[in-house]
Amino acid sequence: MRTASIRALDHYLPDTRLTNDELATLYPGWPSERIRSKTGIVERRVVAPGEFASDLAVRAAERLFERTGVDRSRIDLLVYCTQSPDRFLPTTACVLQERLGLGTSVAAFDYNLGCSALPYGLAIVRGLIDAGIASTALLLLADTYSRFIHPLDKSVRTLFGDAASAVLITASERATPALGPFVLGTDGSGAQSLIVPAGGLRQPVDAAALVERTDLSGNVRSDANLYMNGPAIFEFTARRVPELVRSLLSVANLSLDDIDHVILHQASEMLLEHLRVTLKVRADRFIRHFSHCGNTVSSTIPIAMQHAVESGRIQAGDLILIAGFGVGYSWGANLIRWEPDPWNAPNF
Amino acid sequence: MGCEPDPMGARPMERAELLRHLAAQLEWPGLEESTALRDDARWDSVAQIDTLMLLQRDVGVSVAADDLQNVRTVRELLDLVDL
Repeated sequence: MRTASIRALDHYLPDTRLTNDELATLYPGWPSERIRSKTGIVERRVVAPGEFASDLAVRAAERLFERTGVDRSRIDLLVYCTQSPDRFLPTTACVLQERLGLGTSVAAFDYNLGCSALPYGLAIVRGLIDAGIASTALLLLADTYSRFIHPLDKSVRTLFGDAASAVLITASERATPALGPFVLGTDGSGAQSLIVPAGGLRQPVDAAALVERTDLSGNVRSDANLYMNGPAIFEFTARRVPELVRSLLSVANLSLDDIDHVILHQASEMLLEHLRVTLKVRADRFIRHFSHCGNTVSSTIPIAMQHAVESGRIQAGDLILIAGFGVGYSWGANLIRWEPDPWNAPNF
Repeated sequence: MGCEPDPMGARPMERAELLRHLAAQLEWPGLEESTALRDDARWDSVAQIDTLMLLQRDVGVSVAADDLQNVRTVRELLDLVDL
């Protein structure tokens, strides 16, 4: 059967580092070690002035091209996920087509999701490849939440980092799908729990939107900044993610024992460990990799997965369960059979 | 609303024992039933998430985030889980 499979992954982190020691000087009562123990993060990377999500996406894609030697003229689908678009219009994917030197026959579009970006993106790409509409897809995911975060809001600044990732997905002939099944879901009742209220048409950034307020915990933000209701996000995650994983395993007619690696959205150490224990995932099958980049929203799973592949932890033939969840609320999970074709395969 | 038994379950716990667990988890020496939470900077989102996790793990109940964020004192928090 003709179906989609992942050929390669890569990512890019901006150069600027934001360490716990720097943050601790801003937040009384939050020493560096406390930030590390609660978040699992040592440092996060943030964009410099004049550097934007699409710039990170270009760097991630160029790294992937360089490492794999892929002929970029063969790419016929470019899908870009971000919540930090350059502009309302044009579509950032169109700008990326030109910046990456892709052919004009490429289909290109954006979609807007956060931590569930990878399962959704893989589902979209697999659908277009399996239907014969595309053959070689570049999935780019990039976010710069630091642009939305008030410097004195420790509830989010300690967590989030900026990053981009690139996933090359191609058509191949296989006996069984390499991507899927998928379980996707949405609950818009949680929209207010992780939000930048101002900046769109419904609430433009005007003087009122820039008025700063200090909450009871001493965090400062305006309506133009990112707000996260941490306890509500935890409640959603603790309830939804175990259901999501069990649902996916049920659809796939598998048990957790059949899964070689579990990669959840790398939200924070507290949350990941809670989910690992709740799901009863063996520690050696549970992949974590975010201590030096933070919660990079759409890129957490690709970054963790690339690291696990390059460190030899993920081997050819392994079955991986990924699950993303967060802003929206939106969630998705799918299986990945890690069988990348060699770079020099005849159809590549 | 309120709390629901967690399907993962946990052993029964006395009110005083839970208070000790809370004080340890939150690294909050001297935490008592009369301690005011709402206006204390230590009762931040991390402390609230710590509390939700502790209740789920050690008591076996899932408390709604809205309810937790409305408590004013430790006593009201303990009342939430019906101990």
